[in-house]
Amino acid sequence: MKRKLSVLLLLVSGLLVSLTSRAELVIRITDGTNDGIPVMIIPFQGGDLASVIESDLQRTGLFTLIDPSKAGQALAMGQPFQTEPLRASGAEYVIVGKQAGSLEFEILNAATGKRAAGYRIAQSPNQRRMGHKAADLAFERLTGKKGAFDTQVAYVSASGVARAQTYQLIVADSDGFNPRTILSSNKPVMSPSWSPDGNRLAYVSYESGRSVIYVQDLVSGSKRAIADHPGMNAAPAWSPDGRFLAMSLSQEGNPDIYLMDANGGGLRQITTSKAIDTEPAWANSNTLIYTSDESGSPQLYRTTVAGGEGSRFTFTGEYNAAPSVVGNTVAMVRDIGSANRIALMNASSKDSKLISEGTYDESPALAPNGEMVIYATESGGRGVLAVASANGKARQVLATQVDDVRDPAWSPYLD
Amino acid sequence: MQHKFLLGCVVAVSILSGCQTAPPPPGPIPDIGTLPGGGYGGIGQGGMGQGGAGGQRQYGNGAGGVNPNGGRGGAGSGQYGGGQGQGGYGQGSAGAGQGNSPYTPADLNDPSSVLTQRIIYFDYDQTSIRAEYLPVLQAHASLLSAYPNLRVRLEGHADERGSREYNVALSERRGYSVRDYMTARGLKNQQAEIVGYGEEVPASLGHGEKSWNENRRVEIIYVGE
Repeated sequence: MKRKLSVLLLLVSGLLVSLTSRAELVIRITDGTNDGIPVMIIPFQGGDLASVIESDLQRTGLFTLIDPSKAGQALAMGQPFQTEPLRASGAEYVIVGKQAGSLEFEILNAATGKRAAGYRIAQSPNQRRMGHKAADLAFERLTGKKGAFDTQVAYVSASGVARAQTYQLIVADSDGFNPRTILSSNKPVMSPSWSPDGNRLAYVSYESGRSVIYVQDLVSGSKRAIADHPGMNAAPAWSPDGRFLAMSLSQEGNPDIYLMDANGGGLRQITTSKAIDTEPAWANSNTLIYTSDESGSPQLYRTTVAGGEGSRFTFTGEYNAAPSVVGNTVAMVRDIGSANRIALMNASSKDSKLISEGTYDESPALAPNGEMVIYATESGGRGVLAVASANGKARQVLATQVDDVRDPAWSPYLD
Repeated sequence: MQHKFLLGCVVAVSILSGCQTAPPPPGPIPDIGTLPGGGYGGIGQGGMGQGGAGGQRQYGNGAGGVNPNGGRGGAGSGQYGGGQGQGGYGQGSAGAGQGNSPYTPADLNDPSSVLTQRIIYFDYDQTSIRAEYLPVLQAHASLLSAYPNLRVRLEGHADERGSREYNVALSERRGYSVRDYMTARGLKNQQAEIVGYGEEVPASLGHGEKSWNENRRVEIIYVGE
């Protein structure tokens, strides 16, 4: 009895320690789906990376996680296994693995009784990254789609009292773990945008007393002001080939979309309306989707790098803004009257659906495979980040212990 | 009243038809303040400025005369309110002349002076100036017009609803709205810098109408004060 009590005390104190650490915690508010690919993940020998893979796969809304206690047998890498108990559990695939420096895992086919695939991932200083790489491999093997778990997110954190807040620009793993501060300021920071090689962030900072666009090298930490024109310098967006930055500048009197070479030269004006044109997002190297209120309230518009007047792109809802585009999917914030929600639109069919349920949801950013969207929302009276699956079936809140986080940007695929 | 209206119509028709007609005698020009559906525009001399073309409701481009869907054309710079017309109030420094103001810079620190009011509040999704704040802006404009070495920074803000970058643009537009009202009253453009902070620097953290009302604002900050 005494031994059980001391074990219990150890567990409780361990839980308290992890709750009070500054690491990001993932709190599931909607567990995956129950009509996805049924997968059972057996806890790995030698480490806890199975939980990373489990959380990653759930975040896509494409998998149903089967409780490993239903395996009905001891499962280990390289060992034969019985299919009957696995089929009874509902699992179609089982993932087993072990970690000893590098990470090795296998995907077992519960129906055929055969090993479907085996992988080895080299050791990495960021252990969780090994888990994300494993999740990418499993995701690709089981869905045929490219995985985007081994990626990063940038976001802004604000703390302090009104009118005297401090702001931080933070980069973290795509599940919110391992945050590191890139910039700290007592003036606002906003709108991070990743370069396609993942090495630089463009962002807006008011540190000089007004909005200026900076580019910062994430490896060296060096930064330079790249757009410091009179008026507003806002909403930087790196082109897919890394050659240009789109942005919104009000130097001519009202905010318009401009393009600039990534090294700072070659500024040219793209949109010319008298309305507010801002928040450019690249659909491809030739096409920009942006927010304009020329119809009276914000809607999404489409234009090309050749410039001229944009054509209206959204017709559902009174207010659509903040586009993020990957492939044929356009994410946006939509004001539905009672709330701001995230909507996903198919660019071809123009059909759209709401994929979030909060009241103050905004700033959507699609993962590079288009399967997940990170966005800013509220929980417990504070700004938090959440990730929703593109099919609308899964949602996870990435909860921080302190501060108010917002304005996320999803990195490209990383080497 | 009717005579003045008819006279104004005649003048407008004359201007539009290119005839040379003497402008009406400068009588009291009513300050119309804000108009529904559009940004604030100044009043052209003679009552009907030659407004710019087109009618974007939000920006109040009148096509001369009063456009019920927009603000009256005028306020010459025409960025957000009014058209490109030159007939507007904007070009003049009507009102207090140079060095001619009931106010002095010392009044900025006088608690009983209207000049200690530095915050202008706005309605939701609006950039037009509410009538209750016009006297405050008139006072600041009067001082700034008389003391051209004084400079201000107009910091615009928005409440949290809507996208962050759109709110930066909206808040900047509010700053321009305040500036344009004051340049029509003697402020020189180079005396004012405008910064839009969007929803990034709220006066009141939290949700709900009370917080939102407090956050939709332009703050007048005297530089070097």
